[in-house]
Amino acid sequence: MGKTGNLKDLNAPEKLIHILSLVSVLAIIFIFVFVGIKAWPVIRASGAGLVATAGFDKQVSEAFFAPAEAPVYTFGLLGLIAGTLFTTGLSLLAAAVLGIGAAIAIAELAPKPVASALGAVVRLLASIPSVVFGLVGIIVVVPAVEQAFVTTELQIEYLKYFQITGRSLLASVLVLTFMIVPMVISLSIDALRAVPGSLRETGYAFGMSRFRVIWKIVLPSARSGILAGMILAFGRGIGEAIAVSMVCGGIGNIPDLSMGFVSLLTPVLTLSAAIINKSEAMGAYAVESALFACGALLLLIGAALSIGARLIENRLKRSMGDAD
Amino acid sequence: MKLIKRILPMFLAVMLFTAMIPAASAATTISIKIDGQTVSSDTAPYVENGTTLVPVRVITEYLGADVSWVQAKQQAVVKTAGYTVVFTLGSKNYTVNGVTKTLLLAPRAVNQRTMIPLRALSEAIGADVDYDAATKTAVVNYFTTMTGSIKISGSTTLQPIAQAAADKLLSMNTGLSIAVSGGGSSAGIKDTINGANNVGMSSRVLTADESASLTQFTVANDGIALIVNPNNTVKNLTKEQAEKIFLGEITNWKDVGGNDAPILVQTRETGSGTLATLSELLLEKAAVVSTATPYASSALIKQAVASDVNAIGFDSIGYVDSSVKVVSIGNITPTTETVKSGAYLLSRSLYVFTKGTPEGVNAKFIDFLKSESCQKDIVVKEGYIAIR
Repeated sequence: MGKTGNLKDLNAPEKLIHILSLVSVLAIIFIFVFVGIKAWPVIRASGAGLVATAGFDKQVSEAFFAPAEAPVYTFGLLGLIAGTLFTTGLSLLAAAVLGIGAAIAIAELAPKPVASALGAVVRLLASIPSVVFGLVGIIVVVPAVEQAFVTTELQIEYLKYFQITGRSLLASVLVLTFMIVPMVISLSIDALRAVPGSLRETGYAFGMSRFRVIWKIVLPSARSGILAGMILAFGRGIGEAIAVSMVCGGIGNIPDLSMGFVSLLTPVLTLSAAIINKSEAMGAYAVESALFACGALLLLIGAALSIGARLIENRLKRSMGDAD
Repeated sequence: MKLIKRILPMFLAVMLFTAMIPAASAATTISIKIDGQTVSSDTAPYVENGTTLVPVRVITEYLGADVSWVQAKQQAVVKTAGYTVVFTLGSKNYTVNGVTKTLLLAPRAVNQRTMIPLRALSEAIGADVDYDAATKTAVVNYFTTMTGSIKISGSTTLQPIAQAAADKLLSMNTGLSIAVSGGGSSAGIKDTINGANNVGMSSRVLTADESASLTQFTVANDGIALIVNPNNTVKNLTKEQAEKIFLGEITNWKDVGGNDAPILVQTRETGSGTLATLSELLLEKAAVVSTATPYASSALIKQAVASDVNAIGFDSIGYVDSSVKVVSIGNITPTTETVKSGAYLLSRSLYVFTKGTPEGVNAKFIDFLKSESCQKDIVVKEGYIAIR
């Protein structure tokens, strides 16, 4: 009979594990199929316009108030996609700089007791529920952004485009950065610690300084682990709904970079926050379908991320020469 | 003296106790369970000679009926969507939709509450009634025994209430299907007249022509306050000013008598009944200016207005508290009174209706909309004013 995988040849616990993994595979397939079916009316009616046109807020309103005999199924999610990529991208950038730096400080430079204490704090931070970040965002970050950057003149000048309050792309980026930085730090620490001590010692033996060893030897050796952490953080950022929905401003504007710094004060809406914010209008079947289309996009992005992570990891491993 | 001081309170306590015992044992007091929920009442129901007597108002309010008292005839008139039942104090005869029937015991007054035999009342309006002797509980099932299908359409303002009521009823029943769609008040009225739905919804009063073939019920009142920050100096807006602000045509507070500062319009997410009402009554159905920041709940929009001196928003008057300031429209402030009288601009009643007299599940659906639990848990929560 077959070498592995044949249920008859396995003992009870092995069978159980096989069955459980089968169940989880089925659950994942079911989620994709279910979301796909629910989103299909909107995907079919909108076509490529779904990802190429904006105006989601208005479309939700039109679809909700449409008479039963003439439902509106055309939606454009470009504003939401832009909002998602801008918030997640910028916060990932900030989290990378802060997180990797902090990880180096903790794993490589800090004395042992300090390092382990800081490590524990970071892990604790990573486990704070996102709604808490949202609350902090709305109570601290939004007013802080408003105090720091918003003036009455600016508000009056830009009122024809959007309201400048604290609720903005910037506030979302800040909150999201706080959320994903602990994740980046703790995964980077793990990656740095996994670098064998012999590599460092070789560096020192060549007379390299401590920083040179970190820069030239430790970081390159740890990069696949660090990158995996970044991708996980990106995934969390993209899927984050509650915290972002509380501070983003709730309108699917595409930030206009020609406005310079003010573009950071644009109210935005992300795909996942839209599912929360617009769920009030889900009584209309078309709106429900549109929100499932948001979900389908998120699923696709998530799937692409995990495949991308695998590919990058493989390539890095091959280029490093350790094919284990 | 000391002895007396010590004994007297004890003596009194014993007196009190013995005085209470006969009162409690005169009749067996029992509890009532309606649709699985224990119902409390200031005058306890009791069993007399095997007949359960209940305060008419308690039961009927749970079942969504209106009760009125006719002093001259000593009559209690109970009206559900489908039935009109008349009880007369001291008389075993009662009428259901005009047909005379007979009770086992005549209704009587206890603590100024009309007590009537439970079975007769519930059977008259089509409820399932049972008495569980073991737990001394009268069991009434009304909204948990619905089967069939209901099609509802019309006013999108009422849509959230109807949808929430439908969801609740669907969770309480198997074999029931309810489809709620919008389309607007006029379309809903047309659908009901043509028989395209079972229950229509309207946020405007029916015309004489329309009401000729329809039976209508008020299921909620609605009043919307325009709210600003307590530090905002503006106290009143004319209707035109308010309209232009929410359409984005007036964008500076100085144009309506305030400071030189931007007007930051706060709005609700699509689907909000409050937003729909504002749009209909103030903006002639136009949408609120697209830069307005949307919020998912009445609480959130209030919080936003409370924290920004340049903000203006709107909220059901039920939500308004001292954290925000209400701006009058045309010098009329929204109160429960000005809303009920219609003097306040942003106020109205919300109606449902059927072709002819409602029957079966359709009648029960309307009863549910009017019931205490729906008014409290759905109507008020959705941001409207309860009718009770």
